[in-house]
Amino acid sequence: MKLGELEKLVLQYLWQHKSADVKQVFAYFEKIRGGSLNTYQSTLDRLFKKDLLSREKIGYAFHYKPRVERHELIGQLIKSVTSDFITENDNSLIAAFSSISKDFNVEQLSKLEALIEEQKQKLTGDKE
Amino acid sequence: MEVLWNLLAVFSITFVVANISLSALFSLVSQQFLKIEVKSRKRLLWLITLSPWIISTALSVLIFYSYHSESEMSSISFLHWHHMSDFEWNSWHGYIVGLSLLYIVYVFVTGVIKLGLHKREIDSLTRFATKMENGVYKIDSDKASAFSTGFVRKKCFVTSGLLDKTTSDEFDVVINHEMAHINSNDPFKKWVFAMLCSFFAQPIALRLKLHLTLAMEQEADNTVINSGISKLFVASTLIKIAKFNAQSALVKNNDLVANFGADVLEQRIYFLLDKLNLEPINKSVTAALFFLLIVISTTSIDGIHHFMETLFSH
Repeated sequence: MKLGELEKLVLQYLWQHKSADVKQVFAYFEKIRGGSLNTYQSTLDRLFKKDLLSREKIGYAFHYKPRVERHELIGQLIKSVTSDFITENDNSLIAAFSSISKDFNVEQLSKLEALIEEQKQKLTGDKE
Repeated sequence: MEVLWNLLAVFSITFVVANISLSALFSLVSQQFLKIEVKSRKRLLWLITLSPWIISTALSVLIFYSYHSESEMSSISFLHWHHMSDFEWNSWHGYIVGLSLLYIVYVFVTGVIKLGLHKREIDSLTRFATKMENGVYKIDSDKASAFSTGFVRKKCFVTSGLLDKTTSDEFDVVINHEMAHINSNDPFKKWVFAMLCSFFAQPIALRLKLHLTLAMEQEADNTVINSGISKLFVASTLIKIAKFNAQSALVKNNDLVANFGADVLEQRIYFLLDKLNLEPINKSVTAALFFLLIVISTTSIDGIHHFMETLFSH
């Protein structure tokens, strides 16, 4: 999943306004960062092709809506970036403290936690 | 030019023999790696992935030298290659060289493409992040995660979920751990290592990468401990974050990769609790095994050549 700066801004606009056509998007961004109507039309198309927007034809124009929420998109990006070194589709470029995608069951973790507690108590006992 | 192509054929065959022998050897002793000290283990892993390259290059140079000189070396029976000045692309020599070159280019190109994709994903993520005072990037997400990446412009990311779930002391553990990865250039090393592993069969490559991941994590944990933070505190922080993620993700733990991940975490905790009696590497045994590998790889060349010539025409 890759997103350009303008794509991110357009997404943020749609998260705020829920739905808009290209003219509304253009009218908003023209004042703050310029660009042509075509630029915004192709940005919306790209986001649609990336499955991040849905669209519906109302009259002559498409109206775009976000297909994912902000937190979902960020979650997808983190997952994609941190896909682990040892999996098949890894990118091997991440050094993580504790991987999200990695997958220990709670029971196993509780056993390890008990082991740490035991060691802590042993240490406290030794000091006393 | 024919000599060069023949040397590439020598290189490719030696590489395959060294790789197979090494893989067989590694499968036998892989579990013993967990008992070796972290630094030695890392060196050994690099040696394993680089050995086929070193041995093949050395043998190609020796055969080239033996072909061009009248020295004593040329009398060593296995240090030769038949009809060095003769090379046909439409022969088994040609196919071996062609396939080898294609595979090397494929690994290199896919590695670089992955790197480009990863960089763009990081750029996308950075656009949703805010830079904190300590230079760390904060991402809004309820997951508890921290990771570092980048070769030149290195970046450390933490999620707001991790910030919310940890105390400031626990957060320091996480950041120190990530900074240790950044200072040792681990993301770049992992990328190079993964490329080298692409030349091994997948189960061996996975195991090698697993060992390197574990060694890098243990070394980063060690850096945190050396900064004065107690081992037990690092261990509890690690478990706390893993537990939070396990509870929120509820992922089943029955596939190979998940078991690998669990193994790494378990080993890190045992390491932090001093449950592992890690020992320095046995240099004599390592040297003997490495010597055996060189002997197998170099002596096989002539035999393989004769065998292939009985099956295919030159």
